[in-house]
Amino acid sequence: MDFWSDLTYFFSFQDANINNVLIGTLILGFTCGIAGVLVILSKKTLIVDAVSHSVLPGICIGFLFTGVKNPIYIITGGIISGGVAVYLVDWISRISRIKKDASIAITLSVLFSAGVILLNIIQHSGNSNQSGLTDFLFGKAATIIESDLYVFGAIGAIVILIIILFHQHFKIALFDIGFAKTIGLNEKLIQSLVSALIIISTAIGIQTVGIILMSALIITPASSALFWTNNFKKSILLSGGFACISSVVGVFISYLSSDMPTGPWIIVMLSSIALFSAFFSKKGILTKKIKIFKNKRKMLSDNLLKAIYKIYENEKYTNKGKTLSEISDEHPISIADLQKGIKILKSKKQIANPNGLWQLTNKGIDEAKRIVRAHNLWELYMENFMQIQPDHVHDSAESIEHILTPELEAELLKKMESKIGDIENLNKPTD
Amino acid sequence: MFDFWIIITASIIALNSSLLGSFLVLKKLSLIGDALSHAVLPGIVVAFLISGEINSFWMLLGASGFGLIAILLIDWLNRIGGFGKDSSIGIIYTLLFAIGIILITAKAKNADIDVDCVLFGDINTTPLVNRIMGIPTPTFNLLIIGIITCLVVLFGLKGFKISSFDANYAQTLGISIPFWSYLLLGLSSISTVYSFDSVGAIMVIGLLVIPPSFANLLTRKLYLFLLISVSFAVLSCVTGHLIAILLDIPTVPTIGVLMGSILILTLAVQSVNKRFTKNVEPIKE
Repeated sequence: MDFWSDLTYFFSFQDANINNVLIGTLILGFTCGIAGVLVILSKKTLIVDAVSHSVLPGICIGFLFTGVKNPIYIITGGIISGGVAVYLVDWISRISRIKKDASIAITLSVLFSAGVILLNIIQHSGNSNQSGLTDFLFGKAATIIESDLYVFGAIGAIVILIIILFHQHFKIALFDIGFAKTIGLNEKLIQSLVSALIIISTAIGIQTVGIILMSALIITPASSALFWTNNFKKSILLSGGFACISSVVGVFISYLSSDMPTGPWIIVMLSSIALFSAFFSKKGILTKKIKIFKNKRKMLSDNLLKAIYKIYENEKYTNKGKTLSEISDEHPISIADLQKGIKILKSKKQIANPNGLWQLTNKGIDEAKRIVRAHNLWELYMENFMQIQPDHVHDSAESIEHILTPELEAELLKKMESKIGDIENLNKPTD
Repeated sequence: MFDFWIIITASIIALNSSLLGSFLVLKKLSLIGDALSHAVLPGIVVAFLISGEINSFWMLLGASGFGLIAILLIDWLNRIGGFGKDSSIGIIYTLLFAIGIILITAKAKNADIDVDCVLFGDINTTPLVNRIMGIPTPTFNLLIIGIITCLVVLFGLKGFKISSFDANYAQTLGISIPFWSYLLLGLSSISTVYSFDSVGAIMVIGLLVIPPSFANLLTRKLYLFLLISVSFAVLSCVTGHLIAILLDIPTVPTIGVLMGSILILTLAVQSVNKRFTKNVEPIKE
């Protein structure tokens, strides 16, 4: 079978087994993804690591008690030992001078070791049901069957319900704990709810990606989502969406090649989304760099335009051509910058050189007037409304003139209508 | 003779890890140790795929580079990428570990590196592998790393000490903080890679963090701290192995549980003591 027929078969949803795996990983991914936003915002990122390693003994005890791999008992066991882990981390760092990060590392290695011992005991007990318990270590999405889906669905629904019911509380407590306290919100309750969400989603999420990689299923989609939006609701949905996309890709890759494990591929996909977000999102590295670059260009060309306008004004508005050295006498900058600025202005058609000398176009005159006007307007505003001495306002105006939008300009004008007399000579340039 | 090499190997790992872990804990870098222990996996797998054997000394040394790559990536994601410190640790180590697992399942399937030994190690096979000068290869490698670690710590004690406790003072003395941090992390990375095969990813963290934390409960003097940390780790390894034989359970996790239980017990006793003295004092007055 070639790639395309595989692809169409996979997405035609004919195969019940594939559907079970896909739906299962989607439920788990979505649940963990949405819980992740709360985890990151409440700065409990590292607890996830401790909890995910610590569910192992609980899973083993759940199995030891019942002797079968019933997901309900196993998940319950996992939830209990996850709770123990959260308590231990808190207790160790509270009563001693062991730091929180050390207490996390201690808890996870001790409880995980206990889990490995129990696993070993189970393996030697001769119970034929035990095969597959080690799958919890690295996850085995491929073994998800239909009855699992109901359990996952129910638990996922609980998580979603908690988030919907308490979303107002979470929002207030996670963004402004001081305010939350003054209006009488119970901080402890919110913190325990977040811990509960971590424990529950970990206990089910390990089915797809396994114990070791579990923390990524919670942290990674959420931290990518927070790059794109500051809105609480949107970030939750986006995070869930990222986790779902990665789950589909992971399941599809392991369907294409049976050698390929599902969980690790989900994580690789999630991390790729995170790196992509870090570069290309609104708050990303590249976007920031481009913004800074554009700003620099604009300031360079704006300042140069203003200088040329000033010469033009000194020459009593006779639009004579100017040589580069004339311009650089008025506005002393490096030759490289001067040439760059001239090039930018020319591409914007704000200046032209019909006869080898540079002169302003009509468009250039308008733009220069606008900049000067913005500068003067801001100086006026600072003097009259912010009570700042006239000799202190120039520098601020020098930087604000590049970013003052027409809307802001209109608003400033409206505010200063009473000082209409001053506004009339706004177009006069200052240094 | 059989158990002798297991105990020796475990003790050398304990010595290395607890010594380096002491400074990691003092520098509040415990979780970097956690990240390291997972992040070196792809390095080990690649080294294995190239050299075809798991204990080749130079290959493993190269694999330690992955630990440093992980640390640089974490730092980069945090400073430039705008991720929180904790999130960048979480994202990078899981990514590298996932890549390691994919490499193992895809490329090294039939080899003697498998997914289970990644987590638990197989210290029990130590006496059975090839020997160099009568010493099993992993033990021999660890011994060399151990000697290097001890020498570096011995000669660099002043640098480690000042840079861990008082960064500002270190700077005024002209001691470079990044130099000592990267030296520490580089050594930890090397030690982690060589310990990985014997005790697995999780126990590396345990041995890095639990002994120094235990020492932290008992003393505030650095030399005593190091001494307690190292001897606690080595003694736990020996006792843990004996208990494991007695109960017929795996050695490595037993060491972890033993160290953890002693630590938690000590904590409990200390907190009860504190409460007790608190209750008594008002009566005296």
